[in-house]
Amino acid sequence: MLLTIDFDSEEPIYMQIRNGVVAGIAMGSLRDGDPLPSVRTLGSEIGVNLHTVNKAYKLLQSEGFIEIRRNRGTFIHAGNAAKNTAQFLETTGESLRNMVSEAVTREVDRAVIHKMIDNLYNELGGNT
Amino acid sequence: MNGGIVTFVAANLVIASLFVIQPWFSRKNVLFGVVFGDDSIWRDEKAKRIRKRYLWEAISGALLVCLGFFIYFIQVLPARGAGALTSNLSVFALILVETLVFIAANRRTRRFKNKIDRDARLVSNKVIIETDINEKETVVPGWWLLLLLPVFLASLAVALLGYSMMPDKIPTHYSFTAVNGWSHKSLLTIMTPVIIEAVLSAIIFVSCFFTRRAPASVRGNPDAAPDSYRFRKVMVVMMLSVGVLLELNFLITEIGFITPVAPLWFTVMSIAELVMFGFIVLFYFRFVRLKKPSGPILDDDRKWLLGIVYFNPSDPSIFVEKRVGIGYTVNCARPAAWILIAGTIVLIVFITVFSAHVK
Repeated sequence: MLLTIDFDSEEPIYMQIRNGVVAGIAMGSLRDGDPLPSVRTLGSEIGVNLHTVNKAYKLLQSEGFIEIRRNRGTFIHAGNAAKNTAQFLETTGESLRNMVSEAVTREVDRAVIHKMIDNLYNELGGNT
Repeated sequence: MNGGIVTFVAANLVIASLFVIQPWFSRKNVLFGVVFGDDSIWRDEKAKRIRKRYLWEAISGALLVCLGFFIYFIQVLPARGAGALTSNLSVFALILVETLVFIAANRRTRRFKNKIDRDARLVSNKVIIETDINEKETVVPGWWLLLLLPVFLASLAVALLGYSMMPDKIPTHYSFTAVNGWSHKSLLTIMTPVIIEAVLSAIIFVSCFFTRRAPASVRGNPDAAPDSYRFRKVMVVMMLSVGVLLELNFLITEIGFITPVAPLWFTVMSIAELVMFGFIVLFYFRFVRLKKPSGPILDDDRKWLLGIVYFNPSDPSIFVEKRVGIGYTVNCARPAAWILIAGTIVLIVFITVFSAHVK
């Protein structure tokens, strides 16, 4: 998969790496077991600090999109739930972002939005 | 004409020629360290004029320096020590003059680039990376560097175990056909080659270690520098091979302490090293010079000071492919690069002083 990094973007580079991988999983161009470059290789290819790449990989790992195996490398390990999440983020992320952005502009409290989402989730039958 | 002048002229000629042909040892979309959108720049009339002017200045600069020092040699006929010092000075003068000529050409190229219409393929803010980089295929495994170990250990073993078998008078200098330098046996004399070998092997080891992951000098997308991984792999293998050949020289020297060896061996080694350098040039043309870049190219001239020095604080790479010339250079923004440069200088000064002291 091709990963595009824009140095002029407002989005931090680690988020661009993370979003690129999530989009790849959502669109099916990255599948379970596909290797990702090592932190060192990706850092020197892009020309960015290793901490930046590390941060992106740690985030992807904590979100359940990749698996970092010691001395073996980094692999896509999304599973179905993570794949669905990736697709959801890819298709709905932007509108969700717009909504939260509006809430921020109107100074709606963070807790109110959290509560709203929780209520909606329960109402629509979500049980996790 | 004495041997000193011949060596002086030969050394200066080789260095001058290497500088003069320098612009032709770069990727096809790079001119004097300045990057362009594609290789058509090489056929541009204005670019041709910049190259012609460079050739003219580089050749006349080299001739002036050589002529100046040559006249000095003929007139003054310096003693051996002063002669050697002047030879070294002439090399430094030559490097300085040729570097200044290159910097002038780099500045002209930058001005030329600013004047022409901006190439849409040159981007200043974007890189595209292939995530399926197979590290097993692109990076030389670390254990390959251990290939430097056996010959070194063999030299050490010959020196230590063979000490009692060595005669009191040992050969320490060879000409093409015979031994022309002898020394008295001492632990220091017989260990000197091993110590120098250790230093050289260490420098080669460290260079190979960092070159294994050095990125290409032109970036932007996976097709910006096609085959750069293959070239890098080949270069590491060539450096290791040259390293092993150099080590063999020291092993043969140590064996020569015990039993006479034919000077022919050293000639064979030198020829083999020359052949290796020939291959390096061939590989350079095959994997770098003849490759056509495509896709968006990152305009990172600002990271290449004077077109020669790479300075990029955000790049974690310690070694990077040279923008002009065959091989790799350091990222001067990394403290580790400075430690390596300082370390190499200290080691070279050490072995020079050390071997002079032993003689």
